[in-house]
Amino acid sequence: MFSKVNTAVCHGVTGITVTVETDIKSGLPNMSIVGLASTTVMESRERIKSAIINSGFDYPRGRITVNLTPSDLRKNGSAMDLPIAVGLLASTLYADAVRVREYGIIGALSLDGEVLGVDGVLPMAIGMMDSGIKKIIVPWANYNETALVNGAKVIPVNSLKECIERINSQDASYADIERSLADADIRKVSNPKGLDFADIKGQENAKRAISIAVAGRHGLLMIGSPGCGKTMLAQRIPGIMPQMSERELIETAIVYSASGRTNQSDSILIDRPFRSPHNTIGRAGLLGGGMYPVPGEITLAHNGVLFLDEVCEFDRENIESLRTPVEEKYITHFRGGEQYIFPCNFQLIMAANPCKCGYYGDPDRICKCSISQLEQYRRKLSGPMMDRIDIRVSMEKVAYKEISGKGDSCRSTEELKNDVARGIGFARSMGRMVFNADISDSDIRKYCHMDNEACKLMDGAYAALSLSPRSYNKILKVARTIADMDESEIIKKDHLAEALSYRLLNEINNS
Amino acid sequence: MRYKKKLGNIGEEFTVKLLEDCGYTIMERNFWTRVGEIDIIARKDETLHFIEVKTRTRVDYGYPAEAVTEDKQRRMKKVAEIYMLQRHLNWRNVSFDVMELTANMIKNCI
Repeated sequence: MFSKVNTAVCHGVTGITVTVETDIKSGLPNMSIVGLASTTVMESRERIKSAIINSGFDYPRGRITVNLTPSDLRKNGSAMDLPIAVGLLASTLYADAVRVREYGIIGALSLDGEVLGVDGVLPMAIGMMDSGIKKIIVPWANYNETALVNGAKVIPVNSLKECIERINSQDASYADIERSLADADIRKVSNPKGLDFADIKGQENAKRAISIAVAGRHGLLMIGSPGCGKTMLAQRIPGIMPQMSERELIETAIVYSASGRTNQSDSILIDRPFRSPHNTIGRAGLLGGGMYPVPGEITLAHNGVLFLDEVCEFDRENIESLRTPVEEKYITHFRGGEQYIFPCNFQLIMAANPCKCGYYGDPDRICKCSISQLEQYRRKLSGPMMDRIDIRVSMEKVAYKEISGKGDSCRSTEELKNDVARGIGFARSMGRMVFNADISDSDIRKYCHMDNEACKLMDGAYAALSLSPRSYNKILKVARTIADMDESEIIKKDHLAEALSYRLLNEINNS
Repeated sequence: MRYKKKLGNIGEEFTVKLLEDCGYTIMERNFWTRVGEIDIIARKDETLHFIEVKTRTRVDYGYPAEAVTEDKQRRMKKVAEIYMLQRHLNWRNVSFDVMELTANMIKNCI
């Protein structure tokens, strides 16, 4: 009258194996679940009872005790419905209590015994694989995402009855296929929306800045009047980033699985995510949070692009709170004595108007802002966060000639992607495994050599622009990226001059 | 109401007979207080048993034992305390039991 069933919980974005122990003793009919279960898990008692009866089994009568170990781990979610139900049926010998231990079981139950899809199946399955459970029973709705669990034998089920039949069946042929990325129903076409940089006429300097930012993963700020194409450019950035590696693909899929965004019809994400939160977003939405923490926008942008449009309209506190995650590439939350670590390695892109009304510096229209308004707006653009932006680019209004032109000189996604790939490829061939923006201060001397002319230029610029040592390092890194795209081992004068030009905007503002 | 009461009485009569056959000594029946009532109080060996009898003709609405709610259990405990105080009993082993009866040939009896 005792049984053990393996399942897992999704703890942030990590799956942790949990064992469901079920014991049935004689006594007044009662079912108690112990082991730090949340209300959702407690409510599963009612679902399980109905599901068992409606699947044609007898509901065990007696005092039922269910223990979820490790018992000091907080457990949440409806994914434990199915394992607890199977545990009950194994205790009453409907299911083979020995064979059931080989399986890891995940699934929610509806009252009629149907197995429903749940969030976080991918991290849970990976967690179970890590602890040596190779056969995993999942809801049909989640079958596709398990393709990313290399080597797992995954059995999708539709109902509680089917699940029990699968466990009891001697014929194991259904579980012979090991899952691998190859049979995943991945959207093979990247860039499904057909976004192309060629859609934007003009703004060639901004496109150039974007390709540099992507090649070195530098933070980018675009400043320009309304309607000049900032948002359109940003939306096209994932298209020029290099294809995700298998590891990145899995990392991103884990985040999307854990936050319940794996759309089954859409299958697995192959494109890098592009997140553009609205400026009214709260801190929890941005960084992640909640009683059982869920990933925020920065984590959803992991391995992709986080685009903050109208960055000056965001609460200053929210922008400042990005500082640590941007540097660390992960964020840690603490809830109820437990630690939740979310990855957030993203390409930061920001866009802003030059002033409140948006027309400061516009050749044709008059800016209506007062001096104090201008200053207030500027203040938002400086500060410690802006210091982490390596590249700033000012965008002019596009002339009619450029829009109406045939676009011969208009660079497309294809070309920019090649530039980026060349830059990254060269950096890797020189033995630099991190992106240039992440080169440590001690390594700068090692990697960023300038020729004599460039040294002379830097000498003059350091004094003339009253640069700080920190901006000096940042400029060197950007220059390094530009040199990479030129496949040059040494930073030349041209490279440095271009890098300096992306810095000017801020240095002038501050002076 | 009369039907229910009769059914209950039949159940209790049956239980008493069964308990006596098993070597229990019946000490009290339908011990009533303001807090509640205990159907049968019996003893065997060193243990005092407080027994609630639940009789049902159909199990469509759940099994009889499931009708003994937590509130009912609490009340039984209270009544048991009163009983033991009144009779100056100081038993170490006290047990609360539920006798579950499902009647299927009820028509002939009532």
